Amino acid sequence: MEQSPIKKYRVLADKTLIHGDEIVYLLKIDAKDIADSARPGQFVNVYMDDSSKLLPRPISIADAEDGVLTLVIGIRGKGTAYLHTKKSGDYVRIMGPLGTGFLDAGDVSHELVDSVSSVNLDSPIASVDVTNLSVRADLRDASHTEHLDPATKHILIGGGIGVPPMRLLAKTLAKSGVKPDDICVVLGYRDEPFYENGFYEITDLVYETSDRDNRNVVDALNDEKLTSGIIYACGPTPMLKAVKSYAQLHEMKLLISLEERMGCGYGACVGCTVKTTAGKKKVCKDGPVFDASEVVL
Amino acid sequence: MRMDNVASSQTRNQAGSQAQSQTDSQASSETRNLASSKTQNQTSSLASIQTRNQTSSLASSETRNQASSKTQNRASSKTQNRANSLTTIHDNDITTSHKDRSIEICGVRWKNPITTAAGTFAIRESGKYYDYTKLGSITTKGVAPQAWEGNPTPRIAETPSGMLNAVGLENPGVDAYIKNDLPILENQDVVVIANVAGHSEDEYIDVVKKLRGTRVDMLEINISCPNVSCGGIAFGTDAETAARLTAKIKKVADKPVIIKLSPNVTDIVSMAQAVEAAGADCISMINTLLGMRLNLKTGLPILANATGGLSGPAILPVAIRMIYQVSRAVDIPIIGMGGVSTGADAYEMLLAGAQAVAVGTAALSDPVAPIRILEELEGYL
Ligand SMILES: Cc1cc2nc3c(=O)[nH]c(=O)nc-3n(C[C@H](O)[C@H](O)[C@H](O)COP(=O)(O)OP(=O)(O)OC[C@H]3O[C@@H](n4cnc5c(N)ncnc54)[C@H](O)[C@@H]3O)c2cc1C
Ligand SMILES: Cc1cc2nc3c(=O)[nH]c(=O)nc-3n(C[C@H](O)[C@H](O)[C@H](O)COP(=O)(O)O)c2cc1C
Ligand code: FES
Repeated sequence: MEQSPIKKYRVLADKTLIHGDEIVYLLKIDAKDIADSARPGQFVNVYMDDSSKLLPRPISIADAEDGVLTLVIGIRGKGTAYLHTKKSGDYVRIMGPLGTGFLDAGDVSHELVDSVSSVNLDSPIASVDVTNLSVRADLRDASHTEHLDPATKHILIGGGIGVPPMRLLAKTLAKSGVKPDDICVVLGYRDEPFYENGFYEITDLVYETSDRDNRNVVDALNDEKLTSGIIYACGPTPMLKAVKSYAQLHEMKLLISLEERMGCGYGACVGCTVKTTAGKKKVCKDGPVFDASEVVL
Repeated sequence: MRMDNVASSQTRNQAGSQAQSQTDSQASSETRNLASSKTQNQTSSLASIQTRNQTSSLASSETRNQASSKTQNRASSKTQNRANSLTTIHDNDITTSHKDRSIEICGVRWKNPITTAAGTFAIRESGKYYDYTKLGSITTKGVAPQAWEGNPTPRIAETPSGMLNAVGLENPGVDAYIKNDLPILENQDVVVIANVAGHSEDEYIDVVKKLRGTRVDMLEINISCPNVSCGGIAFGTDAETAARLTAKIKKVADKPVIIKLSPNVTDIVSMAQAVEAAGADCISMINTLLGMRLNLKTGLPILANATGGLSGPAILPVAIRMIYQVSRAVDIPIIGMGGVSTGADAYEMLLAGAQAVAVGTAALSDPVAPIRILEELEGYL
């Protein structure tokens, strides 16, 4: 029997983070295999338990440490409302980690991974994935932060439900030796902030903005004169567009995480494409992180 | 009320004129059929067949068969054979531990009756999760003579127990398929079915010619995609057009030709009979059903293409009904598909009259679904 890559994982903790017009909650999940290989910017597929809701819900990996996976979810519809009923001790069906993250887009480790999978494909694989995936993860883990230039400033921008994935990114950068002063975090909220505390453990340079104060992330970039280094951004498309103009103006490299409706989340259905300068690419596999200069927003 | 208006006017603007006219003409022809059968029979179009034959529509094909005894024998002996082979395999079950589930379709031997449905299987991506050489065959995504861009996103919308897709046959073109995909399969022990797309007869012929002499074992001609504005479904909804294309393809193909039928027709049986008469070696059915969903906040369609093809468990009963009807009216084998998500569903499809079963949408909600369904099906055979 071939093992399904979708496994049941136990919820260790659940917490509602904000409960106003917007409801955002957090799930901590006992998922050692996923947490151990998760890279910043990657996501997981969360499946519903009821087969009338067939499709996976893609959710970014907010944090991964000591075998515990953290997901931060905003209620948007039926699926995200259903997951809010999950309490500590319940099980969720998850597959992951999936996709290409912030620190592996277009770098050497990415190509290594491709060559590994093509080697495997030449000889059909008997009992597949787990081993195959862990080879990939190992390869990437060994090299995915090596290419970081120690002198670069890293500017992390999260807007709304795009805030959570910035947490694992900030943490990974810090762990790989980037100095706290070179990590700068700009968070944009519609109203109340959520999931912001962890960033202050990593750096003092955290800027929170909120629509209720008529201040957005680009205002913060301008005010703080954050005009050199590399920008990583995840959030709604209008925000990404504004950040892209800012990055172009100051000739900064910008990596963005895109959102698209998905059929499979693993590259089989071609449902989730985005236009790039190199033709259409799959958000779930080639992304969700792309170099902003390559994609048409 | 207000929402209705917003939705309809905006749909028209969004959908683009071609897609819209397709939807319009579809809708209106359906209305016409419904309306006329209603007047004639004072009831629905399905019931109209019933009235004519004094019995069910399934019996209608039997009634027709009775008119020609040759047809009747043909049909019943086919059913008989299938029943026999199912029992034979069942007997083997008890005596042997290594079970032979193999079948032969158009002279091609499959290890078992399960394949993948076109567009839901990718050699590299799906191959990461399971050994697809264990399947009876693999059906790859539709390829056209040149690369197609497909539709803009969103291309996917969830529906109750199903999904809509409007991928629009994005594909890298047949040359890229031959160069990048087929070499991976070169030394693998698995039957390969290439799914062929085109906007015109010439485009289909082009692809079929280029696939001559390649690793591909069988061709599945997609005349039923609801998501491309010209070609595709245009060939699949008119019996004469479908038959003419089938005959032309048969002339140039060097491998068995499977014609993939659309369920978006009034009379699936006559479509099947038309392509059989034109020389099709096999029929696959069903492709997706045309559908739509709206975003409640904007009143606009969720899909950028406005309409999309419905697949998944929701369409299983439609597929079973159509396969049941067609299998009793044609001699050529049927590869069944549409909403199969368990071994029991696959078995039901075999009982309905399919010789093999393809797994599509189920593989999107679980990458290893084709293998799981094969294993579950073995419990029934
Ligand atoms: C790579 C990626 C990472 C994401 N990370 C997070 C995250 O960390 N936290 C979070 O709260 N949300 C995240 N999202 C958005 C999240 O996937 C959607 O909000 C969620 O799928 C909505 O599901 P629903 O059942 O509540 O909504 P419904 O509208 O009931 O869903 C119906 C269908 O549409 C899909 N869908 C609806 N809205 C979206 C959307 N915005 N993006 C993608 N699919 C959608 C659903 O998956 C489902 O298949 C992410 C999306 C992507 C693509
Ligand atoms: C995302 C997606 C892409 C598809 N692409 C193709 C295609 O390229 N060619 C084709 O003939 N059918 C295509 N189909 C139709 C399927 O092959 C199948 O006929 C249909 O989905 C019904 O089966 P299912 O309910 O098991 O998915 C596609 C279906 C889906 C969901
Ligand atoms: S969601 Fe299926 S290819 Fe990306």
